[in-house]
Amino acid sequence: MIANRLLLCILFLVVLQPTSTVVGVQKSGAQTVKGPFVVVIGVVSGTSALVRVDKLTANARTLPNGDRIAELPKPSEYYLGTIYQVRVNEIIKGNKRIRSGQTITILIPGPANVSDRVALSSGRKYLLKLLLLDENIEKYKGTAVMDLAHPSSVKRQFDPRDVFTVAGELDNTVPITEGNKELIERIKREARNR
Amino acid sequence: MNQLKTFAFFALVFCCICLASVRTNAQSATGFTDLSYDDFTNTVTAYSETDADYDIWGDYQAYVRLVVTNDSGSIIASGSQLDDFGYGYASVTLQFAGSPDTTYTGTGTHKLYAYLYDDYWDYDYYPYRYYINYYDYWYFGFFEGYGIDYPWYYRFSSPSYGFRSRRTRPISLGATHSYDSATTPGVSIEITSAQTVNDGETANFSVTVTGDTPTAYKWEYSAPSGAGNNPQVNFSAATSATTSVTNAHWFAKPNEMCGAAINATYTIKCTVTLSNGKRKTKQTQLTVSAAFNGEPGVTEGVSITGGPRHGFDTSRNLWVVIDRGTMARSAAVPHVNIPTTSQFYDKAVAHENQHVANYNPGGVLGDLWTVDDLFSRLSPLTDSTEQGLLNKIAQAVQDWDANQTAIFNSRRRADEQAAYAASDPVGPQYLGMWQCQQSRYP
Repeated sequence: MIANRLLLCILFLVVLQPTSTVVGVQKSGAQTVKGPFVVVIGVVSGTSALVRVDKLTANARTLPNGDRIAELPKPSEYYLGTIYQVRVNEIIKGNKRIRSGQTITILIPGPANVSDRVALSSGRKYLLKLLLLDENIEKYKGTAVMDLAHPSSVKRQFDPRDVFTVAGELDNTVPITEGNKELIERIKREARNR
Repeated sequence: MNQLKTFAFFALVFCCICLASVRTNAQSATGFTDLSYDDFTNTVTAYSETDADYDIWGDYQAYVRLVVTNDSGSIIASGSQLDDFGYGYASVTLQFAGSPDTTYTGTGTHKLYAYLYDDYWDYDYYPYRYYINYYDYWYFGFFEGYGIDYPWYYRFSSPSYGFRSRRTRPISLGATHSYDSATTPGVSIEITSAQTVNDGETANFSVTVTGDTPTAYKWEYSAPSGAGNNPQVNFSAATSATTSVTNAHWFAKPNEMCGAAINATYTIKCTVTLSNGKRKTKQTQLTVSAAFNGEPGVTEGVSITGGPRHGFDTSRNLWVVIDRGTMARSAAVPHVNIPTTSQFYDKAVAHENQHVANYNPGGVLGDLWTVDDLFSRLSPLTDSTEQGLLNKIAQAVQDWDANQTAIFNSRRRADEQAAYAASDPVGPQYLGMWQCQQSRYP
């Protein structure tokens, strides 16, 4: 009888073994960042604007009283975003499209004069959390890059391939300063552990 | 014959020692208890039996009592039997429906009693007396009162052979006990996996119990010790299987204005009371984020709408800009991107409203994107054709807008400092404070 019970116990434990293993697995928390991202430190080397060319015109409109009005181009219609050229000094977390020493293009969509929106200063060094921009070329048809320093100069076509944008999270653009040293170290650690 | 019986008795004791975990002995008796569970019918069957040794069949009565308790110690079933017919054994079977995830323990008490031989009234002498006589062939009654429950620890030979008669209660020959247990299948309880929501948002939790119908639910939470900003979780239905955490509340850990983590993680527990009264607790996590997927708010700057009046100047034979026409400065538009239920909402509103106010005359950005300034650039423009004038106006607007944007960017720090000065006094005074954010605006 003892032997029979012992055998039953062993059989019971063997049967339960895989179940216990499954139950014991802790579900990890979901990642909050979607898609691949890179974290780099680089210096802003140039700024330009992405504009919709067909909206960069003034159109005449006649008022009921016969007056002719020159409707001004609306920044909200023609200004699609600010483009930054950033020379990469250090790659904290990279992908195969990015190398140290390379100058990358970053687009910050939306009007320029928006408070609390990401804005980078030329010549300044930043830690940047970046995502690849949507490469849908059709979406950028009819757009051109305008040199903000010389708005009247010839505009060139915008190619969204290999263009980055900032990740939608806090601390996505951190100026490299002594005061930010601790924050930058923390971001570096988190980026490497992701 | 006597030697044979004595040998049989000690042999039986020896065997009982060998099988101590499952079979136990009274004097010259064996007993065992068995519990089993049938999951098809959800029935627990408990059985206990006392067997008198073969050599003493007919000499003593076997007795068994079976008590089944659950793992709280409560008696679930009990029964007993006395061998009145000289079968040499007594057994009792108990059956009852099992409660989930419960361990039942059966305790069998095994005894032998001496047989009632006869009873009679003695009328020979006054006062008349009532006699009850028992057979106790093996003189086991000698051991009564010794408190012997486990007789194999003692040398247990019969002192003598003889008939015993007395007029008291039946002679108990000591008792032994045997045990067995059976566990019914446990219930399965699943709880919603860990969730992350922004401060002020709603998170939903539920527990699913399989294998039982619980009688009660109780949701509770805990936060890490030392957390600041009053950790709090409000359950919409704290005693239901499904509940919502309305207005999720971010807490500060560590309790530092700038050093507090963006994510605050609560432990959420649900205690389920099963039908058998047992309580089971499952836990998960609720992470309340103050990240809000980016900036809590933004303010779209002002712009110039409409356009100047233009016309053909016959005296100069040119198209010229006449006056401001419908030119107007649109108001700045604040956008708060966090839920109105968030504890940070009022703070964000105060912040963005100040950004709007910064465009007012005298404000940090009050002199930017003004009608007067733009018109001063447009008014000198002339062209021989209307389209030519329109093209020059468009180009002038681009140049001017780029210039205004450059000035705006150079004043971002001042713009933000003024906005934080308005929002910093509004609670909670964590994270979104000038002290914490100024390094973003060098």
